[in-house]
Amino acid sequence: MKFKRLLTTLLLMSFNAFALDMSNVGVFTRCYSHITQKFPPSNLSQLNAVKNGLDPITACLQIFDMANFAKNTSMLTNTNNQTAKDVLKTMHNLHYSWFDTNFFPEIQNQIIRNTGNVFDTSAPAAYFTKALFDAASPVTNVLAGTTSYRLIRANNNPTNSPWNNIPLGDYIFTNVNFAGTGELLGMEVTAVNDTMNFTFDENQNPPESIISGTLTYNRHFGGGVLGLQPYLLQSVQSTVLNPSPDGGVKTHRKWSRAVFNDILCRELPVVREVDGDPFVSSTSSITFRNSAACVKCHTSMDRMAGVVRGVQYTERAGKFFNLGHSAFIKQRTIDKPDADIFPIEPDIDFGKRPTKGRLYYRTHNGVLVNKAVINIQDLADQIIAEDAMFVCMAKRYYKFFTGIDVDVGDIGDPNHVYLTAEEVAVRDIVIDLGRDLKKHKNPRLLIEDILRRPEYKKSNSNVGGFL
Amino acid sequence: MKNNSSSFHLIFNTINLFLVSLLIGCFGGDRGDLEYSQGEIIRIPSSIGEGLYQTKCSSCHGALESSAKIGRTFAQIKSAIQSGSIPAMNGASLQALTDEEIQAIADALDKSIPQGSSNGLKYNQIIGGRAYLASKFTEIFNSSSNSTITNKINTFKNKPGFLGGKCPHLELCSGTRGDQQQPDADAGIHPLASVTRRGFITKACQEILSVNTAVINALSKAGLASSSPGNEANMQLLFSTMNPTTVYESAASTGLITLHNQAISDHGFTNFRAWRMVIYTICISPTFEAI
Repeated sequence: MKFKRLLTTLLLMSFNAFALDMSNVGVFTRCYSHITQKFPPSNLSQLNAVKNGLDPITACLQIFDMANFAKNTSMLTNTNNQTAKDVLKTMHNLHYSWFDTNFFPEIQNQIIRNTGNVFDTSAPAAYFTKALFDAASPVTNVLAGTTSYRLIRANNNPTNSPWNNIPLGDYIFTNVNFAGTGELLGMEVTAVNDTMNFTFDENQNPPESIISGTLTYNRHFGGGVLGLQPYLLQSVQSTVLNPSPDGGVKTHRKWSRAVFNDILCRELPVVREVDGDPFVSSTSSITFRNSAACVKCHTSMDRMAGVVRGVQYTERAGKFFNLGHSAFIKQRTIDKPDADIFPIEPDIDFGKRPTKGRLYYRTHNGVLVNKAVINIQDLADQIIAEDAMFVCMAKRYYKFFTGIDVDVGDIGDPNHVYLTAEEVAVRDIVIDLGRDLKKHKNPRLLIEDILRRPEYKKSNSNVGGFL
Repeated sequence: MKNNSSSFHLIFNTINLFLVSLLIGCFGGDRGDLEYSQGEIIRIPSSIGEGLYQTKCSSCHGALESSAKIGRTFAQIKSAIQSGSIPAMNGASLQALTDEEIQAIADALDKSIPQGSSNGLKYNQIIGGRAYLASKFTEIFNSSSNSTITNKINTFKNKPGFLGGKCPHLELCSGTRGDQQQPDADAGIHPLASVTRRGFITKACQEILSVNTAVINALSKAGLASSSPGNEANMQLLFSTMNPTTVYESAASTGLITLHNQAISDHGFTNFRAWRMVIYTICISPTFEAI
């Protein structure tokens, strides 16, 4: 019994080091472990420098900066530096975790293997990774332009397809550029309209009928990550080959819901009851339009989805639904005039009308953002003009480094969950960090600001979160 | 040696039983160490005040950053609204402002609000993935690159299972392909992984420390030898070496010292085996896996 009491006391006491600051070695160890996901080796020069008086965060940032991309490239300066690769991998995987959906859709019950062979599911995260490690790339580039990135990995030109392991010589596409595999080393810009040539035995049994042609797979629709092929594929998640949104029952609301989650850290509803009320229609045949509670979400996500209304998959070729079970996004031809972006009744021509939509949400401080947008890039520009994306990034980095997850929603909404004074206070810190990011546009500086905060130096006094 | 090993495992099992019961009740509390609350008054955050200012005041007084009303107090704003002497401020929208909302506007106009102390913010501790723990095992227990210890660490590191989060499929995290990837060892920790994770870590500590070299290496890393006495100074050295991100407190040393001494006096352990018991206790404590 004495032994039992002893162990009880021992464990309880060891977890109650409340509010104590760590030693400099402790701070460095935490920081190094955070950014590399490894325990620092005892012969590490920065660790010894800390023991000799170097500021631990300065030392840690020396480690962090090893992963900076070489000037005018998007590659590690030294691809043989394991620590640099560890940092890059840690931060890229962190960015990858920010995206709610991380898989390509199944279309007509088929896994789109060829899509997985040429695209990296983490490609959307590359925008954040580049902004972090490329000093010449401001964070606003995350939502800017039509640049697509291909991740460069240790095995950058695999001879077998990475998803289903088919040798290049046997592959349906004759000039396919498989996605790289293995450790991440950087990224490279790809052409907007990359193509793949195919030669395809349609029936696979005599009499053979060979089909050949070219498939465009890398169109970009503007707005940085928002219009990137892999992001659209993963967030639109249509399970039919040619989705025909009608602006009512059917629309690409999975995509807009993903944008609120992935880029703005917001879960629907993002407006207040009163903001949705004007869009309720008791006579509509669209069920959700009859209910204020439903419209409250749909008024934001459905109207934003107007900018991707024309999304559909590449043309069918051959007898199967697509080449080698591929799916890539293209834009339907616009041949119908403008109409209501949030029709009360289904609009069969909705997908053929101009790509208009609306950004509609309440900010963290309760201001209603209500902006008309004409395409994905315009939407991205309007998002950048607000604080939300920057606050969202601050929230996520802050959580990664401190374990504290703040609520950046509209806490002035009477229906919003009550926050304690402490939660509000830390939330305000994060909001300030986000606003600072909006000004300096440098995520690396944001991380340094977080690491230099007093709470980062606090001892591990409580080890919750896993029981 | 066989007897030593059996006795060692018996003690391990005993400790593990206690730990299971203890862990359930010990780790759900608050951090309680942040200093950012708003003092005695529970205020609406100034960020809300900024929004209120923008919607209700900026049309006359301009943007908040350049407002002519910077520094106006709660009393001044309330008086201006209630006096009726300013026609533009007589509207229902302003009259409906609560005291808390007026205070929030005043706070937005005054960025020098004193911050008091607070308690109770909940947070989730950051814990390392398998790769992190494997590197920590290596650094602390295997500085001599002992092949037996290496194998035991790798067995832990390569355990398949529900220990991590998402892994980019092209990273080929565990050598498999397609969408059936095992999560990477250092992927984010899935909340449902806790029980499996605890089992793996406990087992790894047990396996690794069953090799005498691992105990010697850990002691050596702390500047100790197997003959070193189990006093407070030595406990602090060992604890801080194994848990550099947790501040060592003398209260913990009392427990560790007693554990060491009782292992010798009550159970007949040698000094070396008593150290092994102490090291194992630290190894399986949650602080060991905390970053």
